[in-house]
Order: sequence, then structure tokens, then C-alpha cells
Amino acid sequence: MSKPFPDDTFLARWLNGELSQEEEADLRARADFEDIRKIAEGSTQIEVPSFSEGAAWEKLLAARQEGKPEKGKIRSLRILWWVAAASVLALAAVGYWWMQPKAPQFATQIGEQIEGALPDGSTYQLNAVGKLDYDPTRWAERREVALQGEAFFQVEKGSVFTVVTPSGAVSVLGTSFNVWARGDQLEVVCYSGKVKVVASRAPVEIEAGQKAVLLEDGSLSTTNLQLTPTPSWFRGWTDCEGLPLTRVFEELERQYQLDVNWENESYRVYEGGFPNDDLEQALKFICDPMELQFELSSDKTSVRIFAK
Amino acid sequence: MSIGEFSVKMGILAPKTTAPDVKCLLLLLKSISMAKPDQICEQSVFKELFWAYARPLRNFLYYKCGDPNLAEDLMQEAFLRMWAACQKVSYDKAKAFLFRVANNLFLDEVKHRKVVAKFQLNISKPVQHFTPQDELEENEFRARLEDAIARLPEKSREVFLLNRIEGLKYREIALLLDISVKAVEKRMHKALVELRKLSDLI
Repeated sequence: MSKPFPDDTFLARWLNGELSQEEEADLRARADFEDIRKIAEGSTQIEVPSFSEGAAWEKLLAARQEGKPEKGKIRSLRILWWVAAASVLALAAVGYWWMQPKAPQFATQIGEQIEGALPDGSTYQLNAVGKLDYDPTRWAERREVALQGEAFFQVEKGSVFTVVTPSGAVSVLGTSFNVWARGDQLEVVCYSGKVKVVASRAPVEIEAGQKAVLLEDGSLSTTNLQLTPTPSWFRGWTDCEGLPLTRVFEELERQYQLDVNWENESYRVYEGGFPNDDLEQALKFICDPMELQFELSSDKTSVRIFAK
Repeated sequence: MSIGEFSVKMGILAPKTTAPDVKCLLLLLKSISMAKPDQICEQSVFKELFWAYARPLRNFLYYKCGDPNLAEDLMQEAFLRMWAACQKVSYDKAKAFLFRVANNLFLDEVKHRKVVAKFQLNISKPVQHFTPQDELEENEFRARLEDAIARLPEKSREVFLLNRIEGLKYREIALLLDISVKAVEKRMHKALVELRKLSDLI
């Protein structure tokens, strides 16, 4: 059907740009060259299903715990007896552990914010629809907080302080910073000191006034910001500077008990913010500059957004 | 010798710094873990390895079997086995160990199931289209390519996708699969020829 290639590594060398000029010319003269080129190019567009190291790590730890008791051979009744005694002891230990104060877990509902102090005096503020927990019994050896959602931390100087999120870890010695971790996305803003962000690719260090964003390919991009001393959401204001509108509406749904139906969703960027305590004002703030109209249902639980 | 003395001697940390730089600490940790191979048993070191290799390993397995769930399961199993054998695996050998174990696990799995896992793909849509006609042709081409890649023999496919998607050099693939660069080039060439034939037949 088509003529054979000069040797059995020919196309591999072509992809690597290793062919001589004559060889390249021969290849280009072939009837099937265009097809081959399209295949080589098209195959770089393949999407690999998404993956989160954070979640996979948690799974691994759980699986490791589960698998720990080795499958040993039980040789005699006497050993079985010991096993029984040991399991009673183990049960007692588990029960005792169960009675111990559990690791506190804090969660916020829509429109809710909480603040609190960690055992070493570091403080956190947790924004709406978030989850935060840590283990106070191990705090002295390891300052580690697990976070899903958005939170601001002011960290007392001391050993390394780590915020673990599903898509990456943020570690610092003593500073203040904001972490936004929702789904497999991650954004970190540093307000003072230095912060190290570790995600799937090379770690990044940011300083006060810088922001690190986890990109889809797993790398981290850094930008400089004009910063107020603390995040605006402390002051009842959600800042959406430069965010796509879809995310602005997601943030709105986190601050208000609201269902946003946006017809004709298109990718547009919003440069502004909205107040967290006045729904109609908030909708006006977003819709007016974007030339959108809104229709709020009578019970104010759903809103229809459409073009003017 | 304590860590403090050690670091002063190595000139990594200045003596009596109150807040040592994070980077220095990490460097120090790394140098220690390199010096002592069994350190990978340490959870923090192991976690570092996990963050470095979990994704490449999982993608590698995905290119072999085309099933993201199976790929993730096998990846996890490979890490569990490494943890169980962590006393014997040095920091530098971890990557090779993981890929070798994962490869064996995959082969076991295929033997076990007696059928080759079904390969499913999803090639993302290019952004720009000028006419519906273009779009139609583009869609058709993508579907044919997906199908053709799924029909490739696993050995050609893994090499082809590691190069095309992960962007690995032939040398890197050869190292990963423990085969010669020449063999990689042959598989690569064969993959393209096969794909050309397959996309024609469909």
C-alpha cells in the first residue's frame, strides 16, 4: 500500500529531529506523510485523567495501617489463646483511645466564618464552607493542620508549621498567609515572612506580597500582589480580583444560601469583589460591570443570571 | 555528632542562627537521607518520594492499561511494597524500584485477568475551529486516533505515550524500562507505522 521505510527507527529519529536533510525530504515526499504528522501531533493532546497526590497519600497511609498486622500462621491453640488475650488488650487500648478527646475538627457552613487558636498560640480564621483539623496530642512534635477550603494563618515562630491540602502542602517557620484549597485547586498568598509551597512539581518559595497558584500541569506560578495587611474576607468582603466569573459565582454560593443559574456561561474575568452581608448589593456589584442582569427568586434562595 | 554540629561543620548553617532558612534545612535533610539509605523508612522522606514519583508512576501505568483506577491501585501497591522493603531500598534506587515493581504488578494483573485491560482514552478538543465542517473532521480524526492507540500492542503504546504525553526523551524511557535506546526507537517507529495503518482501517 505504501512504500517501506529505510530502517526500523526512521520515524523515531524524525520525531527527535535527527534525520538528515535528504532523509527528511524523502519523508515529506511520501503520500502518507501528512497522516503521520497529524498522528504524531494529535497524540500530544491526550488528556490524562486527573490525579491528586494529597488524596492518594492519605489512601496510602490508610492502606498501610490496614495491612500492618502481618498474616502470620497460627500454630497452636496456646498461641491462639495469646492472640485472644492480646486482642482483648488491643480492644481495651482502642476503647481508651476512643474515649480520649478526639482531634478537633472544625467545619464552617455557607456564609459562616470561625476563628481560633492552635496549641502554640498560632491563630487561624476559616472562611465559609471549609474544614480544618489537627492533632493536639502530637502538636509538640509536629505542627500540622489539614485544610479543605480557605483559611488565613498567623503562625508563631517555632518549628516548621505545615498546612496539608488535598493538592499540596504549605510549610513555614513563622509568618501569616492565606490558603485557598478547593477541589484539586490550590492558591497561597503570603502576608508576612516566607512560605514554601510543595505540590506535585518543583516546590516554590514565596515572600510577603506574593501569590502562588497551582496550575493544571502541576507546576506553581508566582505573581506579585498589592496587599492589605489581612485578607479582605475578614472584613466581610470577598475579593475576586481577576477571577473567572464561574468561580466568582461559586464563591457567592459559599457566602450566601443561594443557587446561581447562569445562562450562557462564558469565560469572562471579573475585576472586583462583593460584600458578604447583603445579597442584592453583592449581585449588583458583580452584574453591573459585567453587563449582566439578575432575577432573584422571592425566597432569595436562587438567582437567574442572564445577559442584558 | 549532633545535627547541629554536623551542619556547622558542613558549613550549611551558620552557628547560632535563630531561624534557619527552610531551604538549608531541606538540603541538610536531603544530605542526611542520601548518606543513610534506610532513611526512606522515615515517613517524611517517604512522603517526599511519594510526591515526586506517584504521578509519573500512575501515568506510566495508565499508558499501559488505560484504566485510571487500576493504574492508581497498582501505583499504591508499588509504594506499599517499597515501604515494606524500605530497609533495603536506598533513596537513589527508589525510582527504579518503584517502576520495576509496578511493571511486575501490571504483568501479574494481566496474567491474572487473562485478558488485556480495556484501553480507554480521551483526547482533548483543540480550542479553535473555523467551520462546523472542520470541527466534524477534527472530531472524527480524534476518535480514530483514540481507537488506534487503544489497539496498539502495550509495549509500543507505553513508549509512544511516555514520549508524546510525558515528553520523556528516548534515553529517559530506556532507563525507565531498562531497555536500550535503540529498542525504544524501534518501538516508537513501529507505533507510528501501526497507528498510521490502524487509523486507515477504521
